[in-house]
Amino acid sequence: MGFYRRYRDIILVILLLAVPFFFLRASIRNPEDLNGIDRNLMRVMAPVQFLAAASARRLSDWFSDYVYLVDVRRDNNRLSREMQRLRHDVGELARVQAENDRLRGLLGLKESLPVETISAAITTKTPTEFFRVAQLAIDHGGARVRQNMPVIGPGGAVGLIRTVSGDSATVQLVADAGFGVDVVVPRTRARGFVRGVGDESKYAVKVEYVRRSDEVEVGDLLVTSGVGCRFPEGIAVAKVTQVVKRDFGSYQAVIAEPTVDFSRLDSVLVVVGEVPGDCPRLESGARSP
Amino acid sequence: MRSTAYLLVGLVLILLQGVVFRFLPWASGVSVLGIELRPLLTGATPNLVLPMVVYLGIHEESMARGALLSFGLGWELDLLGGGPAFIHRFTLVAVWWLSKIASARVSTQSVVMRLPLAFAASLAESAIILTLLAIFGQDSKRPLELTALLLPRAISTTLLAPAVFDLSHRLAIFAWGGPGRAPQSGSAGQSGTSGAGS
Repeated sequence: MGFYRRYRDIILVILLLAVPFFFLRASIRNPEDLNGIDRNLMRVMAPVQFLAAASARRLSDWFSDYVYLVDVRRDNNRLSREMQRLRHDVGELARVQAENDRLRGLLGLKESLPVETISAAITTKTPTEFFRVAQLAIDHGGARVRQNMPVIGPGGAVGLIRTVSGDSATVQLVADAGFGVDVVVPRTRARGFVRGVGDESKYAVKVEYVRRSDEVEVGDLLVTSGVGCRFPEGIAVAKVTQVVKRDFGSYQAVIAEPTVDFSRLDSVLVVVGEVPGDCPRLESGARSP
Repeated sequence: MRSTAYLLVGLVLILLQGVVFRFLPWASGVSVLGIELRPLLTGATPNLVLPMVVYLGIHEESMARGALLSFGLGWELDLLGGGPAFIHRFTLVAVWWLSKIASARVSTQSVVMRLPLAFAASLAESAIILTLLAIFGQDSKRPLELTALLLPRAISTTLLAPAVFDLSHRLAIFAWGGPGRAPQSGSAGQSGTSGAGS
C-alpha cells in the first residue's frame, strides 16, 4: 500500500508538472506553430478558462473598485478640507491686502508730515447728539500723548485729543461742535475758521469769518493755515459744499464737508512733535485756536 | 475542508496582491533623503501565494495534497494574475517541489530559516518564469528586461512572507488541528506550531 501510494504521489507530481508545461508551451508559442494536439487542448481549455477568468475578473474588479472607492472618499475629504483652508486663506489675504493698502496710505502720510507723529488705531466711534468723538488705541508711546494734540488721518485732519487714559485716548472730531481750526483756501488764500456743526445726521462743518469779498466756491479745499500752531500747515480739513453770500455784514456763510470719511477711518496719526515754525510749545489743556 | 480553505484564502491573497500596493504607505509618494521611493519600487509587487506554497512544501506531509493545492493556487494565479496560461500552475508546483526537497535537507522550523527559503523560492519562481518565456516566448529580449524586477519582487515577497506563513499555519490549525496532520493524530500541530509560531 505504501509502495503504491509513494509511486502514486510521484506520478501525480510529475503529471502536475508535465501537463502545465505542455499546455504552457502550447499557449506561449506562436499560433502558427501549434500542432493539432496543442490546438485541441487549447480548444478544450478555452471555454473553461474564459468562464473562470470572467468570474475572477468580475470579483477582482469588484474588490478593486471598492478599494478605489475608499481612495475617492478619502481624496474627497482631503480636497474638501483643502478647499475650505484655501477659501479661508483667500479671505485672509484679502483682509491683509486691505490692511496693507491702508497702512501704506498711513505710512505715506506719516512720511509726508514735517512733524513727529505716532500711530493709533480707532477702536470705537461714538457719535452722539452732542459730541462727535472717537476712541483711539495708541500703538506705543501713549504717555507722550497730551490733550489738544492734533490727530490726522489719510484724508486730512481728524480732530484733537480730548482725554488721554493710558494707551487709549478720545478724539474730538472735526465735525464736533466744540472743534475749531484756522483754515485757508489754497486757491485764493482766503482765510476762515472751521467749526464743527454737531449735526447728528451728517458730518458737516461751517466756516466762519470768511470775508464777503473773499472768493470761495463750492468744491474749494480748506487746509490748515498753521495759525495757532496746533495743526501743521497745509493739512486738508474740509471741502466747501455751500456758499451763501449775503448783501450785508462782513462775512459770508460757508458750509463744508470734512475731507476725512470718519465712518471708514481705521488708523490715524497723533502729532506729538513740535509744529515747525515760530510756535510756542504745546501744553496740556491749551485752548484750541 | 482544509484544501478548500487554502484555495479560498489563496484566492483572497491573489486579489489582495493586485491591490496591495495601494495599501502600502511607502508607495504613495514617500521619499527618503529626497529620493522618491515609488519609482524604485516598480515591479516590487509581492507574490503572496508563494509563501503559502513554500509553507505547504515544508509542512504538508501528503505529497498529493501539497502538489494539488499548489497546482490549484497556480491555477487561480493564472486566471487572476494574467500572463500566459499554465505558467503559474507549472512554477508553483515546481516551487512546492523544491521547497519540499529543501525542507528535507535544511532546518525550516524557525522564521530565520524560512525567510531565506521564501527569498530563494521567489528567485527560483522568477527564474523559471523568465526561462520559460525565453524558451517559448516570441520576444527573446523581454525576459532580459524583466530580470530587473527579479530582486524587488523577491524582497517584497520575503518581507510579507512571515505574515503569510502565520496565516497558513493558523489556517492549518483551524481547519485540521495542525499542519499536515490528521485530526485524530495525537501529536497534532506539534512540529508546525513550534516553527510557525517562532
